Amino acid sequence: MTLISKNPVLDFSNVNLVRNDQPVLHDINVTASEHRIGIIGANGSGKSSFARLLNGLLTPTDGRAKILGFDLADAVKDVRRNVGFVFQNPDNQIVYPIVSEDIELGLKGLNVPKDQRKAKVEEILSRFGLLHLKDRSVHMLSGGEKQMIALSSVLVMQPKMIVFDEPTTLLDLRNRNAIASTIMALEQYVVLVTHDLELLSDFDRVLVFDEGKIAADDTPKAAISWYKKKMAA
Amino acid sequence: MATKDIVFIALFAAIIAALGLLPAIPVVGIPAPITAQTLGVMLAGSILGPKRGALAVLVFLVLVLAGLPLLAGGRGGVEHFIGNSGGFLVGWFFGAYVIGFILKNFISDSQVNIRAHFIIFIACFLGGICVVYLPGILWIARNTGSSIFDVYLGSLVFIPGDLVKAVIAMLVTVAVRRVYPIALK
Amino acid sequence: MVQKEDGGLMDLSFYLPGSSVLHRMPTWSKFFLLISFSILFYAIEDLRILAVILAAAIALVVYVRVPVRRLKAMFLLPLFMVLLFSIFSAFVNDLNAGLLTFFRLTSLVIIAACVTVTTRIEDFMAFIENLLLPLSFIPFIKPKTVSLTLSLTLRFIPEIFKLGMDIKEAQAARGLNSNPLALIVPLIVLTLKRADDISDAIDARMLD
Repeated sequence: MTLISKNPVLDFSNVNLVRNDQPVLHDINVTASEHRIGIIGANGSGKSSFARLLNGLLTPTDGRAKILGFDLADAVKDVRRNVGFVFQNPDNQIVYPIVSEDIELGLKGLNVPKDQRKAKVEEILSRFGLLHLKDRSVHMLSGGEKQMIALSSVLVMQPKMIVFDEPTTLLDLRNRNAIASTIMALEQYVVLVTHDLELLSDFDRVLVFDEGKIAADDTPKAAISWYKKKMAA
Repeated sequence: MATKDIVFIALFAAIIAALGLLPAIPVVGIPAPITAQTLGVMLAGSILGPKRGALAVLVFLVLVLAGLPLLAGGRGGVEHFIGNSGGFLVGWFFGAYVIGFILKNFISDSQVNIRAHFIIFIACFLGGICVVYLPGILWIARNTGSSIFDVYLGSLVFIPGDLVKAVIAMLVTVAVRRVYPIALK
Repeated sequence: MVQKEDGGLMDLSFYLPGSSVLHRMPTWSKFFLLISFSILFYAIEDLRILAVILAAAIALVVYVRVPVRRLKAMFLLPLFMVLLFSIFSAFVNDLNAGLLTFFRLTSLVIIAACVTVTTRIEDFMAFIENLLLPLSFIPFIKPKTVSLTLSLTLRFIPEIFKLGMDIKEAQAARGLNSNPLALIVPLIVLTLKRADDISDAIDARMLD
């Protein structure tokens, strides 16, 4: 998985987004190729909508957005094939009643043949020491286990980039730490939307969203300190 | 059929199942407690609309057919369709459709005035009771070799309880509309 | 609900593992026979033939080896209902009609229950999907969609049940435990509100 790419990983120019007749993002311009990018901002600042642009769950109302070189205007499927999305609440993300079935869902979509699917499911579960959960019913898992299963079901599709939308908000401290170290160990490009500012300390770049615009774009230290000042005002 | 429609259908089918697992509601003056499950069937039509509501009931019935203990009281399996309650189960499917159909065509999605209350109640009565009892009674008449009229007379004893159910369904529908109106499909 | 080891909802189905002929028959044949019997038994008016059929049905249950406790759980209510309706029939018509009803219905209920007990949920779901294949020209009937919808439902039943219990607890603490609206309205609203996120999550992974 090469991280040095000629094309920028994220390339947004003059992007506007309107949802349900409400303007949500204004004039977004950003070009990025860093390994780990953090997104912070108050609730309602547009950061979650921005995150959803990154894997094509939403498409811009105006402007041009390219992710990994694919234009959202005409290559949404390619974007989704290459960008995984981990939601805040794993209970809304896990869709099948048995763990292995849910992890297989993404593989079915990629037309991976049946025998290979089983092997890949076992491989990803083993990676996180979760093989014993393979045939478990989802409703019997703990919150931390669910979040890891949700992550596994995304990773098994081998995306080039993974977007996390507040993955640690619902977790206790131990699980939060486990997810944090897992995220830092990922080779893929990572875009992390979070309120947990500490998670971003080793990130490469942080964007601060405010009222639908990118209000700050800097190193984690600088961006976070700007954000803290703004929130305190 | 968008993904969201599929999700609504599956979630409501699960609601109908969950309502069967929760204990019945005792109501003053009515001999038997009202099972929330039949309420759920009516609500599928009144909240999701004719197509999605009927499909939610259908999904639920398919799972019961498969042998899952989802009917109130932890019952399931194809024998419930063969036996005398079979007609009512089939009636649930059409009933949900009729309820949704009436609401979709006679009131708008977020309307909660007196007229809406009235129409919702009528819909729940027609769809939740009349349409459900029709195949139910026919099936029993056929199974037991009795006349339809006799079975019909026998069923009248359940009407008061069913009317209360229709009222509750109407109140729930209105309450849900106030908080979370959905376009009926 | 009885929770056994893993406690999945599939565990609670009435399926009993075994190796009888019924277990090994393909699902479609079992349902086909069941439907055929349903039609056939109603064409028979001779009490003696029906009595033989009933005896055969009972022999079937014995052959499939349903444990007694399971028999009680499965049969007590349906058979009680059959008895009730037979008495109703005898009362309204005559004794012969009552007996015919009793024999027919009991035989069918028993055979149907044998089918339930010898068919795995997965096999049944596959049967449904195959059944719908010839209908897949209708826009919303696609086998994958059907499989997803059924699985989604199974996935959320335990959660919604738990939500219901939690709401019940919360409402009881506020003295609202005899008000059905206080339970059902939040149950429905909280559940349906998740639809947006869930469908986003599906769209993010189901790429075809």
